[in-house]
Amino acid sequence: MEKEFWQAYKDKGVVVIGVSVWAEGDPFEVTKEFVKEHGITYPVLVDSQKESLVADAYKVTGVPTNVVIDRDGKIRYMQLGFDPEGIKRAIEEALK
Amino acid sequence: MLKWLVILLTLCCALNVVLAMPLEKGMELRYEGEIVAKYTFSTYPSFTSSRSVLLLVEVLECDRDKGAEIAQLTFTEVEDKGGEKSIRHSDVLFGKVNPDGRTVHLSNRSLTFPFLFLAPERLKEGAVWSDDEILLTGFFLSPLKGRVIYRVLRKSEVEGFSCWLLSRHLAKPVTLTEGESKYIVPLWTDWIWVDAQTGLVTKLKRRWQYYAPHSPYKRIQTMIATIALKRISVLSPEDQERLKRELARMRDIAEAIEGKYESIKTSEEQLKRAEQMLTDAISELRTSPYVDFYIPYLERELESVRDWQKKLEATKMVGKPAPDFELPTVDGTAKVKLSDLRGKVVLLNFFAHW
Repeated sequence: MEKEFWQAYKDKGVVVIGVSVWAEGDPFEVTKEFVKEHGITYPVLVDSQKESLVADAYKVTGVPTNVVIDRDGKIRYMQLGFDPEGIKRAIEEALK
Repeated sequence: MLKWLVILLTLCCALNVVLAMPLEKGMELRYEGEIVAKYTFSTYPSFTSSRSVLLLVEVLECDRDKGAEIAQLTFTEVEDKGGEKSIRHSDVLFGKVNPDGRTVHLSNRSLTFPFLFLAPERLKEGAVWSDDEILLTGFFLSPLKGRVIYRVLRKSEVEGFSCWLLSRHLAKPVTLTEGESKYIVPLWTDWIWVDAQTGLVTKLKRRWQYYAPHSPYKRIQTMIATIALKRISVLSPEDQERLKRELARMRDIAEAIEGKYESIKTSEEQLKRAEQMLTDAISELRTSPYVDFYIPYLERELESVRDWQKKLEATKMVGKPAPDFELPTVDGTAKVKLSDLRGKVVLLNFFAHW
């Protein structure tokens, strides 16, 4: 995420946002650790409410799930699992 | 170890058992108890396996005619982990009368549980008879046949029910021509208690050994198994009705959902129906004294159905407006609102870290 998408696209009008879901214990502490461990510099949000409401709204059934949203706020791509080629294609399309 | 476990699990018995005449059409019986088996291997550590068993016998027909169906058995192994019950194995079996008109054929049951029904005319003190039986079979074993002798010893009481005690053993060690089977059963002794009223085996103590003459281990296994079933009751007419209803419900559900996800996962309507059926069944069976142990299984199924529903809904979200949200950043200093990012392409990465 960090290198392949955030560093590569941040100057082209793309925002990468991490959403931490289903954390056990203190979700902020757990997520902080993860961010530090992986040297993440893009914004990371915490969906800490019980049942992770945002994940629910996006019908997330497993992680990672990646969603590409275009400039008009429409979902262009949504996929469970990490598929860098598919994500890249969706971003390039959305930038056209 | 794994190899032998696989062998153990696949050792199944196609049993020819003796017809139970005291069973009457329409009769329903409920047994519960435990199977305990201790396995000793020549080269591996011993282990003991123990499981609860629930046996519901429903007599559909009781006909001496050849090929007649005599009984439907719902056989369920229940695992009890600290009060939490779950199904290990569940089967509905049918017994067919063999051409000799005297025995019943039940296939594919574990060796630890020979479903024995014995005819009352055979149950006399001192009675002796013998039968050719298939002792071992499995997908990579040739069937192993042996001559088995039955001897009725005496009347004995088990859990307050009158039973006949029988011994059952091999007439002689099974010998084989090469290539017939890799295994030899040299010793086999069963002590069997048969419910005098219904003819069903309610207690069994088994000791047997088998060898693999061509394997480097030679003596493979000794097993001592004990089965003790308690006849709870010959059910009252009201309970019979209820049991019949709940069993039918259970079967309907199993039939409706088992292995069906592949075909219904793309149909919103069918998933909705499955969800409704499971939800109804769970609340209905919660008060059941007979099939309440089935609930954890149904709950797991319900979870799968809901997962498929979510996945289906997710595929429909592409092309639609992204749901707006506002969430705090990890350091807690700011909040990010999705709609504030209009005009930018956003890549949302849902992740979890434990």
